[in-house]
Amino acid sequence: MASFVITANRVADGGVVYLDADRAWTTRLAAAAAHPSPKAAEPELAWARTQEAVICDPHSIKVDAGPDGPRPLDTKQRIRAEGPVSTLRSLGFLPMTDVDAAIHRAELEG
Amino acid sequence: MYRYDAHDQAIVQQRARQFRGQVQRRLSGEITEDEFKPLRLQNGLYMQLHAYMLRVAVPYGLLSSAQVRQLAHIARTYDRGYAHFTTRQNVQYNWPALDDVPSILDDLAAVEMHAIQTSGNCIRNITSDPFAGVAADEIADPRPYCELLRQWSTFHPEFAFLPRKFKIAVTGAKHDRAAVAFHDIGLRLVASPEGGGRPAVQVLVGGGLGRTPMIGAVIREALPERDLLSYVEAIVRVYNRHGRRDNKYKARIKILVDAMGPEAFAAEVEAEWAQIKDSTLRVDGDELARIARFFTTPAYRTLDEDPAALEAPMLMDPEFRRWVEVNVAEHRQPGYRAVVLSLKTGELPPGDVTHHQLDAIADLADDFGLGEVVVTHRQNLVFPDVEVSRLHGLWRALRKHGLATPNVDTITDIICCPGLDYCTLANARSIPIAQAITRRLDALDAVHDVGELHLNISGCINACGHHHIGHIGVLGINKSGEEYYQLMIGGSNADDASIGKVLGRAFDADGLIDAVETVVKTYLGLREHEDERFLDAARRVGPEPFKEALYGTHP
Repeated sequence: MASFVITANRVADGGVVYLDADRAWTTRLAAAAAHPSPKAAEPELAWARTQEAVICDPHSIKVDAGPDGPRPLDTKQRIRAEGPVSTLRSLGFLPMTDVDAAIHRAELEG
Repeated sequence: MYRYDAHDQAIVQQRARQFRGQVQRRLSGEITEDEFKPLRLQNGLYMQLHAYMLRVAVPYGLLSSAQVRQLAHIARTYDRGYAHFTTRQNVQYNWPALDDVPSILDDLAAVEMHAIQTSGNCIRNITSDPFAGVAADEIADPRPYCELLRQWSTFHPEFAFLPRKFKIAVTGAKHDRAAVAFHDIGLRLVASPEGGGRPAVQVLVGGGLGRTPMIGAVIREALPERDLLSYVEAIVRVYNRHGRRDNKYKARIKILVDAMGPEAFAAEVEAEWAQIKDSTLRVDGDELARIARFFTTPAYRTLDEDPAALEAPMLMDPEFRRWVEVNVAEHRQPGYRAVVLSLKTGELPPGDVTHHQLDAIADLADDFGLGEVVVTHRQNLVFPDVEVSRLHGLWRALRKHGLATPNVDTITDIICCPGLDYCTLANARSIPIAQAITRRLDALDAVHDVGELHLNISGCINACGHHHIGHIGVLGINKSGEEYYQLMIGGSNADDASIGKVLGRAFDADGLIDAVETVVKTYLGLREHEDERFLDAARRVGPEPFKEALYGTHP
């Protein structure tokens, strides 16, 4: 069943972040708070709009439950979540979901 | 090449300092994103899908080896170890952190570079022929005129907030390698009817790509060079006055020229020009000569043109022969050639280079050339001045760094925008498509048999990958949230400028790769002889044989 997640880009580096249930920003889509409808997500989105010192362009996206957690229904949001996998791999980097996500998570949590 | 004077240097350093303060205020929460956005865009800093992107200006594509070395340093120090060359001869970094950007601007300023006017509704980087100054078919070197326009347009107070972005290209050669017919203003240096050994300027307006592709119209056949600035200023004034600001999709000058008609537009320009032609904008010979002195003929050695010099290594090494045939261009100076370094290896995204490669390019430009590197609008690089006797050594060195792929102007020399891997505007990815097409066609081993064939890919209708003017064009579209691709043929950005036409219904990614192969095989089957280019064959037979091969009877 589809649900809705709040996402934004970090001011510090433009990185993709999601809003979790504790109103903390995380790079892990799996840790994002899921809301059953856009209306249900509205209070969190309104709060996110007050956080523009640390994030910009907050908006809600539609996700579906997948075997590995929530998965955006829209291609652009899937690529946003996963990073430019093909280009980074060809340059010898791992995608956001692996090493970078761990680094960013540590930064956020640290 | 042009060197900054004290004023130039002070301006770019001040601008970097100013931006440092703006970034600090944004990071401290003192200013909002709405307030910060126009400030960052004026410094070429975009927000993309996953990170900021910094676009750095490379005026008319010309870089010194010291500048290339600095680009490598920036990629290594502040980014993820690579940089991306664009279709407008600029360079982009895809991963800078915001608080590093002022330091990047400082480092750029240290080598006479900046990111000013690489975004926003202003006059952008002036582009030109990548073989400017060395082309065998050159009438006049376009670079002094580009530099004149650059100085005039930089911080021009009247044109800081135009209805939309504004792009100018200049060529000085008989054959157009700068796509002048597809720019807001295209300028061609031509023989002057006044004689005297100085060129005149043919002026085109209203060309462009995007969602409404148009070929520019000639509104002046032979403008005296002294009137270049005043005439261009008159054009931009008319556009600034009448261009639409109510609809960004109808705001480019091409829409205005089309709506008014080229003749009526030209009449307005002439009326405006009559008021300013004798103003301080008139370019006196001393000023043009001052700028031209930065682009004087290098200290070439006196060499004989010896066709036999390459015979032995070409006989010994077929791969070297192939590279010479495809990647090496004629030069106006006997005993010299211009060499194109392909950035289309199939491994890296088209136009991408690692910091290791950038360092190597800088060293090789010093060792084998005269320390200059030119960015091409096909996202490759040029060493303009290489002695024929040193070509074999250069080829061996370039091979070590993955920069000697012999595919310039072939179907794997793909123009490709960043697409949905990076860009917020894109509908579909273009980089993996370019890489998959390259793999498929390399496997077919047909690349060289196919000959000249420009394949251009854009991830959306904004057409940064110039899909309309590829001999084969690919446009990414969004169908119900999924990536699809339209295929078109028949475009050209050269003297025979034309806009490609869509062949039929769109394909998914796998289907597109098959479709491109089908189009290529169809061409190979119908060409009249080996020298008939894809574009010529496609124009001769029309789209029907390609449609039938792709869709049967139901396109």
